[in-house]
Amino acid sequence: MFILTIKEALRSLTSNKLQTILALLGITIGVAAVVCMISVGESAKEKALAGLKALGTDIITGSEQQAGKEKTKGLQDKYILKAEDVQKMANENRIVTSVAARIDGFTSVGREGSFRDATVFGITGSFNNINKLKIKFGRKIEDFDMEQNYCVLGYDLASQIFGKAGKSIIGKDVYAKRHKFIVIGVYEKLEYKLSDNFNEAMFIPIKKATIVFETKKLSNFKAKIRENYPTEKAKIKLMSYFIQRTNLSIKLDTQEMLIKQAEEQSKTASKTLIATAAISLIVGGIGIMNLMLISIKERRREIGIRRSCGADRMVIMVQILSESVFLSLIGGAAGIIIGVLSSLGIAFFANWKTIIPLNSVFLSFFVSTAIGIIFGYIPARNAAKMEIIDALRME
Amino acid sequence: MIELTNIVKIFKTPEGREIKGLDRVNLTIGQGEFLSIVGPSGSGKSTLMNILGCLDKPSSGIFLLNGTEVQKMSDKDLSKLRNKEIGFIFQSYNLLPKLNAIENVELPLVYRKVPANIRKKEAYNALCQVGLKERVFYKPSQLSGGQQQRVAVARALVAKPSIIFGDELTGALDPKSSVEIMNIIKGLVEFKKITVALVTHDMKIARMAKRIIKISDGVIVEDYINN
Repeated sequence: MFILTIKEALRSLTSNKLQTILALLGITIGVAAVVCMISVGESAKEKALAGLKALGTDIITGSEQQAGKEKTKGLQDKYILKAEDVQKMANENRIVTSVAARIDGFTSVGREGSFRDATVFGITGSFNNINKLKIKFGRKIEDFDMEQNYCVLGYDLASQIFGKAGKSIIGKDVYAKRHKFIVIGVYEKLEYKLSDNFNEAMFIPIKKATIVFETKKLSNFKAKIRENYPTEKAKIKLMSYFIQRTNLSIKLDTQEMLIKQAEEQSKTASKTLIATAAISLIVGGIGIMNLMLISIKERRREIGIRRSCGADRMVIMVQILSESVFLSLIGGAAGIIIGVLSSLGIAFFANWKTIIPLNSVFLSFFVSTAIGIIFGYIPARNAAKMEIIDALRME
Repeated sequence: MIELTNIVKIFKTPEGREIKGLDRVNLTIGQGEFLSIVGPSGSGKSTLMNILGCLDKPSSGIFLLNGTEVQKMSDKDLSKLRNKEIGFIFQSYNLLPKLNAIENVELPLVYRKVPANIRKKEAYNALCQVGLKERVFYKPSQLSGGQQQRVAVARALVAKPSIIFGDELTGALDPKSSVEIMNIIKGLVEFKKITVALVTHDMKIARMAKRIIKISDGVIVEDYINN
């Protein structure tokens, strides 16, 4: 009986292929969207987290609480977070093993005739170590380079300025906001994505950055905490240092917190995406209901014949319901295939690892079946309620 | 076997007017009888057959089938009754166009949950009985009117019902096919002792039956044995 029901369902659905395909489109797109969005969300999250996790959890990031240069312009030096403050903090707190202060700016960068806007980071010698950056060509900026007009380029920026990133660009001149710098190195390309795009940035000694950007105010600093020392505890310790010993209002984030924040953010994003996908699934369900309602109208006579041969209302109801469930499952399966393929495609172009959570596939199957039952119920009930004699009279 | 007492059927027109399709009909049909119900169109003969065949319910009166009051039966029991006891043959054949001949014939056995292999065998035998051995896998659209009606007869037969109802069953057929179908029907009555009730307006067909019931304006006006 079960096999026969499936066979009958298949037969009646293939009798009007175009109509069936059109009705399926909605649910297919909906399921594809769910699978693809969950996968893309997971993959993007994974990539973002990989960047954060790569830095290690022994890092505390600090920045001044009141952001914006305008606000600090009129302030006295003692109220501004400067490289010296950070160095002093490192010296006075034994739990900090090294510290990397940074001044960020966005300005025009390049050489004669070829300029572009790029981020310029003013850094110290410990920047490489803390950010786990590796040099591809030349060498990095050291603490003794602070007085020199030296720069290191991100791999992509180097390629953009010189056509190709290679050894030959070492010693060449690059300008940042009319200040001339000599290229001493190129960083290796970073595969994971950070909030700062180091691949397309220029790095100069922090002291030179204060001249280029006409400010001593640090954008942020990263402090490496002594091994095995709990970062939460370290955070509190440093926080109380800043409150007691300086006039600065500093915001400190542990790496764990940043990871948690990133996870929260991606969760919110996923929820929005899933809500959107849910709407398209409902639209898909309505498509199926519409098809079933039309199909039942066209098949009134068939229902009458089946009833006269001994099918009770329940049998008719099950038949119509199984047709709509079958239909949604086909739509769902097509959606899963399309969803997986698009996730693979997106991951390929976005250059990240594809993650297709198995539960998204199960969820899609479950949702498809549920849609089949929910949206097939009204047509099935209508079919079952039909009076035999009225159904048989239909031409 | 069948006993109708004071059966009334009232129809409502879309305007809300009530029309009596059947008016206090009393009728008894015994096992193995062969009868015709005749009358002009609109006389109520099809309404009577629909009620007798449990396709429709009377508005009032008592309908006993093998001692059970049909009006009091649930949808499930009625469906079972139609499946086991009653076979229908309609003027327009009422075959499912998507199914082939044997699948159409199988239908009542499907709803009786007969295993597939037995089902196929019995459907095949029924098709052989009506002379369609060579057309088992033909779809209705590939069969002539007479052949389609024979498939319908096979479908009515396959469930081994105790009564078969025919509604103008030769109405759409040419004279030769009509004779063929009627010969099959007569055989059923003679050799299988199945009760057959035919609704027709064709007196030639009606006279083949042993008993003729004439109906007019929803009332039985004549009920006699045909010699």
